[in-house]
Amino acid sequence: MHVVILGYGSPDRGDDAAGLLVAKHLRSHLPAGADIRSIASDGTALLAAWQNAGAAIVIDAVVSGAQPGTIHRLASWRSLPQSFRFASSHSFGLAEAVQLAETLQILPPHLVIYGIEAGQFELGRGLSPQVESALPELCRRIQLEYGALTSAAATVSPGKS
Amino acid sequence: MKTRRVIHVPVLARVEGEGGLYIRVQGGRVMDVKLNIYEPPRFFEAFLRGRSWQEAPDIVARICGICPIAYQMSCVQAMEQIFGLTVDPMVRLLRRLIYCGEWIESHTLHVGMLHAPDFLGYDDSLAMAKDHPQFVQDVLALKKTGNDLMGLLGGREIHPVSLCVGGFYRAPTRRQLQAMVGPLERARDLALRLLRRVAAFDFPDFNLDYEFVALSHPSEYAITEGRIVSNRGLNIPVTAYEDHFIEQHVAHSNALHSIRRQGGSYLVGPLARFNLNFAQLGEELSKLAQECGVSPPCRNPFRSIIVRMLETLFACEEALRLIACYEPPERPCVDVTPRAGIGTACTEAPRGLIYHRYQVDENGNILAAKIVPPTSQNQKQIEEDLRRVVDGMIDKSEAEITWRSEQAVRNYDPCISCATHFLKLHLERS
Repeated sequence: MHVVILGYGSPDRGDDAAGLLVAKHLRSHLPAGADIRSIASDGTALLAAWQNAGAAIVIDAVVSGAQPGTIHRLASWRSLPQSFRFASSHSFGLAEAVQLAETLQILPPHLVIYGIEAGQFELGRGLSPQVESALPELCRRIQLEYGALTSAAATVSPGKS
Repeated sequence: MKTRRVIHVPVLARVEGEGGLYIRVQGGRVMDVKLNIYEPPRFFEAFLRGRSWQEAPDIVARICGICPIAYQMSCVQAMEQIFGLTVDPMVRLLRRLIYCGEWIESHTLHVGMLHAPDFLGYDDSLAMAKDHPQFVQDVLALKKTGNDLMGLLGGREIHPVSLCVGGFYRAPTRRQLQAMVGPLERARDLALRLLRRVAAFDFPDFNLDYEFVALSHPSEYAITEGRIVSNRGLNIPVTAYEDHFIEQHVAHSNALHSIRRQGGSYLVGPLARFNLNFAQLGEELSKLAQECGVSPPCRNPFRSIIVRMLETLFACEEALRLIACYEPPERPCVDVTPRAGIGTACTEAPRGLIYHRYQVDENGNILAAKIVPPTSQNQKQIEEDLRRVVDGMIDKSEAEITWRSEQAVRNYDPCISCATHFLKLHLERS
């Protein structure tokens, strides 16, 4: 099973850079063949990025009212509370991409979204201290999830090498 | 008896930027139309003052995430005029090629995700996707090819980083461009399919006698350079732009309105380019245009959706042609020696003509900058279209008027962020 990791956000918008920074960090901490991408474009780019993937792990900044730096793991899109929104300066962000992909039946069979609670989205300000200090734990959890997904894939498809 | 009705659309989401619409109807006639642009002023022209010529292309790219190339290209060409630079013909080719990428990406987004729902009767593209999944899949695939082309040449899709005064920081290899041939051929087929699809939409019978303004070039469908021409005899070099067009501040808009110096609105964008440069689309596309119900002069702005997709098809074909001609330049960029002066440039952004003027000192530091985006130029025309649109359907329901008004605004693919995001319609009848 092909697993793709997608760090999503905007490099210049405060905590919205978190997804991109996680992707950058994971490049040096996951096996060389891992498919890790940084997406700083509108949400339509996500649809193309997870096309043909058996599983996708998406990392994005979120606003739910929790403490900045809180890590959310969402494995079911439908269970999202109404108050939960992803950060996007585009009118078409992660939420819309998931909704559209579901309509078009092009969602990867396995989609996990890691949201990190943002504190601010100010231009050029960089990460909030709480978000920055949560990143190592977020990376560790994604590494574990990635390992589980790829080893599960190896178990279910032993004929492929 | 006096009746007063108010239509209030809290958010018109399918435009870039924040704005509102106010329409006052009295005695069965439209008395006042205002496109209120309340997006805060962005002060880019002031940010540029004191900055080096080298920084300018990257600063102006931030004006828009959809059409950064239009800003960068106009900027670098104006600077090159000041410094007396001539770029390598292959650099010129690459500039036209990356601009094709921007046209494909921007036009497809607007046609497929923002404007098509108006014609098919949906509130948004998500709702439309349920009933028209193949249409939306085609749109996404076509847009992606435009983005990929921009990413390849520009280093990234949003706010590309490779364009500079004098050329590119890095030129691609032939092999890198060849990799785009297959995707562009598929994109061409998708564009043709989408073109036939949008041509079959229903269009209101609405025609106005516009002054169309666009760049025109002797040997190609103008994108990156040319003279400014109109269907009313205007034919001027870019340097004379400010002799013929002025900007006005109106109280209800944070974006300046451009008008002709002698007064009067004008239209820039796909419809203007199509009407003024039709022959340069080539024989096959010209024939195809006619088959699809558009031939010059096309004065129905609602049919701009057809022209936009025709231009997308053209951009795919043009990109393929350019790639076939490409040889990497010896050097991607010429050396720059700054000198004091004033330079101007116009290019054809997806939404229409864009004008830049810079004045720099002997070190190339910017003393003054003037940027006129296409939406500023179209604002007054949008208001005039709305006046006519509402006048022609005054007895219809408010829901119908609102729908048609929003559709009419989207005929222009307005980028309100560029011009200074949401449109609120306030219709007052008395």
